[in-house]
Amino acid sequence: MPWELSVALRYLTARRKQAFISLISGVAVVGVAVGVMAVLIALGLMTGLQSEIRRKILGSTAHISIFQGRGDPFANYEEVVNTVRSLPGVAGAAPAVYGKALLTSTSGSAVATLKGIVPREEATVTEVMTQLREGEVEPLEHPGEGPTPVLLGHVLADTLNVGVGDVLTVTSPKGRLSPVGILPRVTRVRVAGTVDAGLYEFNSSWVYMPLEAAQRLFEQRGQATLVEVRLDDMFAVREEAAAILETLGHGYLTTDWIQMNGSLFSALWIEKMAIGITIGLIVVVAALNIVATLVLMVMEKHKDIAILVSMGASRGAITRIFMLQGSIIGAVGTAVGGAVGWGACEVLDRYKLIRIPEDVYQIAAVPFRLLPGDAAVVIVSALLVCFVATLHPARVASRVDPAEALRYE
Amino acid sequence: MSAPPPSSTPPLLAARGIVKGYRTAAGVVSVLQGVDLEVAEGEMVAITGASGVGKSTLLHVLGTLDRPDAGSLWVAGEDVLALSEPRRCDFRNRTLGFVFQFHHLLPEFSALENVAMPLLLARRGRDEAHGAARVLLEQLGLGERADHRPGTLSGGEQQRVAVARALAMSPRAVLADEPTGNLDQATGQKLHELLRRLAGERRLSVVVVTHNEQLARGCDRVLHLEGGRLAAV
Ligand SMILES: Nc1ncnc2c1ncn2[C@@H]1O[C@H](COP(=O)(O)OP(=O)(O)O)[C@@H](O)[C@H]1O
Ligand SMILES: [Mg+2]
Repeated sequence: MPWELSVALRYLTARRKQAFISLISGVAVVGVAVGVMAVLIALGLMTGLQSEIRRKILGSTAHISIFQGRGDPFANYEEVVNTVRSLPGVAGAAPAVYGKALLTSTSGSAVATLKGIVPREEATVTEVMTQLREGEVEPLEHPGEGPTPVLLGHVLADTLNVGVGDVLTVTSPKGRLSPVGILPRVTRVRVAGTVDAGLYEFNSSWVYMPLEAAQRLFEQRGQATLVEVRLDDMFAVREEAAAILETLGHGYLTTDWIQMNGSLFSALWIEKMAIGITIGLIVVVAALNIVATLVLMVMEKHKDIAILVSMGASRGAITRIFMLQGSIIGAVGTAVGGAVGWGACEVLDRYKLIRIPEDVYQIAAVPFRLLPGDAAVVIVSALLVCFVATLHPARVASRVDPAEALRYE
Repeated sequence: MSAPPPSSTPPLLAARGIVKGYRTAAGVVSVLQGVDLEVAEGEMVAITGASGVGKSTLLHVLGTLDRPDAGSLWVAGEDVLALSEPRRCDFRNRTLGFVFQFHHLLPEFSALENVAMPLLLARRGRDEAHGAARVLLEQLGLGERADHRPGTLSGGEQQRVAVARALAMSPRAVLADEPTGNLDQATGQKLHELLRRLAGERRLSVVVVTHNEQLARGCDRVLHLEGGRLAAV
């Protein structure tokens, strides 16, 4: 162990006459620890929420959607589905018809997004078919006679005050031309089930119906609005989209979940950064305690510095002693804060300690997920801030004039 | 003018024309105004003078802790004023030992650790440094006190620890600034005898600042600092 380190350690650990210095160096250690811990927990929370939101969105939407060039519906969608499904990295593909329509029940009405699906194929692309709250999917596969069976977001069902078995009127703006103008197309549907997708947007405005029924309703017989794709790796959208476009040839476009939710995720990212930096200021305040500790220590140790210089210690060595002291404070604080912060994230997540109202947030407990990269950035920054805090006091120490310090008792 | 050294070998320490002043609010205080001093190997020189005349200043200049405004200083064949800061520190570590009036030990370290410190500064191993320090303390009759903190030692013991520390690196010269100033007459006498003996045994050059005429007379030479210059007594 170099002597500078043993002197630094001794100065930090010795019982001192001036208890105040011990106190503020203790405050500095605790401050750094609390700061690092708080940042790690906050980042863990933000990451946890972000991945939870992403998981929910991706439960109800596809990873990649394929359009036909000029926005025309596809006639050859079955061919496209089959081609795409056989590509490596693609987990599933399904056609979909999208449209807006007015839903009317005996006690209310609401505008909804209707999605026409082939249930068995849809199950390979989204999780909607497994998110049933009431009723069943089965009728959508075999519509039969009578009103078309549909699945409703459960909030929408509550808004319209309908349950499984009830009948609704669907009015599509894509009407027929008649001598008296455009007549809206009206059909009757029966609620086969309600869906809880975990996100309010889907629960409050989405309706799922058999593909043929949607094709009829929106005047798209034999066509699909788009083909939706699920990937094995949801982050591989860019490469997979390129591969899909290359295979399909000209006249197709794609969009993916990252593009569609880009502003949401960048907002969440900015929020995470802002929270991290704000809470990180605790570490900066703690680092000011390191400055204060070291400045007082240098004042108390003027004579020691002179003695060390008289023994042959260089300015560099004196600088190192005080840099080491501050860095040790920073390192101990960071280590403690890092361990406690990481542990807190693990425990809070595993035992779901922070419970929140599920009907409001759609999750029962706040999820925590600490990314190793985030933790590394926090730890390195904390150590860096603490190190920078030592620079000024250490320089002051190295400039102590030994002759001056030795002159007076 | 200082007296010639007793032997014809070149002096271990040779200071010529040392000038040193301090700039204060009230103007320049000139403290040393051309000090010449030569100390031979194994010679013990006493410097006396009134309080505030510049004895400590001179010792700090000789010990390379302070820089003179003018003059030259050769120690152990080295033009120390020409050395870079790191090399001067290294030189001080190897060649010079200091004993100060107020013992000036490191309070957080035991007697043994204080004595071992110059060796650790020279990047010697811990075991070697502690071993050498223990031998020195035993030679000075402090073996029992090795693990005590300075605060628990008497004034005389503290000053002997300081002497042991000054000797740790087997220096060529020891500079002592009123080492007996805080000790009673008998203890002070013993410390001087110790320095005297070490100078002889180890061929050490010793420069000792003292107020005590009787102790000064026990040295090879006594020089008096007055008006910024040294004069033989
Ligand atoms: N840093 C300084 N600034 C101004 N004057 C100083 C300074 N250091 C010492 N002096 C003055 O220099 C003179 C010599 O001081 P010093 O060498 O300590 O004397 P001595 O050791 O002989 O008592 C004193 O008058 C003291 O006031
Ligand atoms: Mg003095």
